[in-house]
Amino acid sequence: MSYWQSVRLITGWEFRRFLRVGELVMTVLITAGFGILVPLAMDYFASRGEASTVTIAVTGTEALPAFDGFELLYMDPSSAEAALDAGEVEAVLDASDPEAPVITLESEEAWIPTLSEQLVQATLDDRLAASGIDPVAFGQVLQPVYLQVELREAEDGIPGTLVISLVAGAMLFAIFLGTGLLFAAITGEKTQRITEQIVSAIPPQAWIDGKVLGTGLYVLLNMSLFAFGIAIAVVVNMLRTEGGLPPLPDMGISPSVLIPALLFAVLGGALYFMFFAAIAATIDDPAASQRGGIIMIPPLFIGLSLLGLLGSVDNALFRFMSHFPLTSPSAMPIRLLLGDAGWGEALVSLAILAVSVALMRRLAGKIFAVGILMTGKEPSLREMLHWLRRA
Amino acid sequence: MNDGPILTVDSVTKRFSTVLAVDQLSFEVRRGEIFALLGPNGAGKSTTVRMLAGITQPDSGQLGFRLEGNSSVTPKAHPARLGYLPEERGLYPDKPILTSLVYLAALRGIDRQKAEQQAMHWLERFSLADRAKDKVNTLSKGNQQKVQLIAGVLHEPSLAVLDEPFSGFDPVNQDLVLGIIRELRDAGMTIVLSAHHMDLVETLADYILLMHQGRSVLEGTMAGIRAGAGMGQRLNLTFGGDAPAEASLAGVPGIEAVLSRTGTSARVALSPEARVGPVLHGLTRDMDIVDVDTDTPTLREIYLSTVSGGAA
Repeated sequence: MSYWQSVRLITGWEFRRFLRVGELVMTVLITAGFGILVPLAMDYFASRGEASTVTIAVTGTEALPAFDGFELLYMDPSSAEAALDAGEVEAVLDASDPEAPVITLESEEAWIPTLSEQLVQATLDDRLAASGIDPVAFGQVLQPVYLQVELREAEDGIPGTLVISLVAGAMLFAIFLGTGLLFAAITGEKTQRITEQIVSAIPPQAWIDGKVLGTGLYVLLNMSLFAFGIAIAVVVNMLRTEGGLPPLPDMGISPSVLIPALLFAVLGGALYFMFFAAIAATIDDPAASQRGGIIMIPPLFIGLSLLGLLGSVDNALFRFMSHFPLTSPSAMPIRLLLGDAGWGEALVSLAILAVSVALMRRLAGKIFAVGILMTGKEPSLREMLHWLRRA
Repeated sequence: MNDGPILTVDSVTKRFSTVLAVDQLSFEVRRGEIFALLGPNGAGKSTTVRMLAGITQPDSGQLGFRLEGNSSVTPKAHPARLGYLPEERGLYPDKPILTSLVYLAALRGIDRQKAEQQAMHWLERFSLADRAKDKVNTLSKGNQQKVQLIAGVLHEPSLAVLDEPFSGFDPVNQDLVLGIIRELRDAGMTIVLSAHHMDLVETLADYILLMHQGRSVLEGTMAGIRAGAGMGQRLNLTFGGDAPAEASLAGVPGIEAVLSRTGTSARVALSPEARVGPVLHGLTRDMDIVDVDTDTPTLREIYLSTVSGGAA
């Protein structure tokens, strides 16, 4: 059997190892169900909020205009107090001083800002009437000036920064899911002593290659189903609220940025997968090992580079990050979108990342080959460097 | 048919940190024989076996695996022709038995359909056919070991390396495994096994290599080892009352050592040149012997005698 036949066999095994059709169907159903039910619930509560009317006893005036969502009952102060005590009204509004109305109620309520807004508007109307100023002219004077932003790349579409953030977020999700599965699989195989049987049949490098590929495929399937669930929810919500499907919005990102971003994401995922597979092989007891914390490395590096979305991306630090393999998967796409990076820089960065993946594959293979057979103790960093030197 | 050795181990040394696990070990395994590596824990058997299976590499020396008409290569160069039963057993616990066996055979390049047929054949042999679709972790420990043994031989390797194949089996299943290993040998498979159950191996192996502290201390067929050990016969004595004091027994001419003495019985070793008749004559002169039988030194006795440098 050739090397790549071994890799293909392992890839299939690792892919099927985590595959539970029932669980995947549940992923779609839960994602879609959540996406459909949450907007439904929000609409339901909003409609209930609109329908309900708050009854308020008003003292000190009988000249307030009608307020939306409120029933105003004009009373003398003692009757109002009694009505509040009896629970016939929810609050007492003392409007004897129009400049400083006071509301009394049992506890804080969500409708107070709405009431306040309408009271302020009523007071302003009174003041305008008293001053003789034309309310329309006054409104025009106070009309704010808005700067309208027009993007040449996409109008009324999805912002490019959002697309890049989604790609980076998906990569991070894939790394978390994939490395979690790799950790569980490899430490499990060590604990269950399956390793010798496998290593006697195939090269350890073929094993780690197959593991990374199989786990990667499973993660892609999982993410695709997750996206499918979201798509179902979006379609159902559109049909419910709009009565049909609007045309697909333009993405505020050109294929010349999106395609490299996806390539960077795939290679970035492969780099982290290889790294974590090697680390997992050095863990003897997953319950006691301190090395599980290394899983926080990807969010640190990728999160750091996503900060570029908030500021300048053509400074020296971000230029470095867009070429450094641990940060370039998210940093270079951001520079392609927002900075002055051209195709040349992107290709150099992509080449550095690809070489890093190849190098990491070899190093991880060497560490994996020794670590996977080591039981009883965890090798120190010094020992691992020694293995690499010997290899 | 090539009658030369299928496996050659030439001056192989393996060191772990400060421990010299295997020291200049050399031997040959002939095609179609059962070759046993024997020795106590720490003798270097498992390290040797792991090198034979290609799991670790020797620090120095050569391992040569020679298939029919082929030049010598490392055993792992032909995974389909090599079977391996690891000492530390392990299978995917949450996978069905048949699926696991087919996967492990496929890793050695065996066609899935053939692997499935072979797996079912062996599961039937071990009375596990009706459990083929059950998950491995539903089996008892002993049955899991049977599945592990099947994984080591179902692809019909030319050379099967079995590390402690009897470990964890009850006497009934030990007999079953003994019989199956003989069958495999008779079918043409070469078996290299390591064990510390010397009594079992004594009856099974065609060729035995005794290891101590990483080195070979004695090797040959069982008859050859006995002849070469320079050890006399053993007498198992039963007395009419309590067995005489050790000094009394050792004082009888021709008795080299008292191997054991409990209650009314004792086992003594004769010196190599001693003959049974005169020794018995000496014994019966002062002692009430009601039963006696003779046997040859066991492998364990030969081993202990060899590593301690004197009579066992």
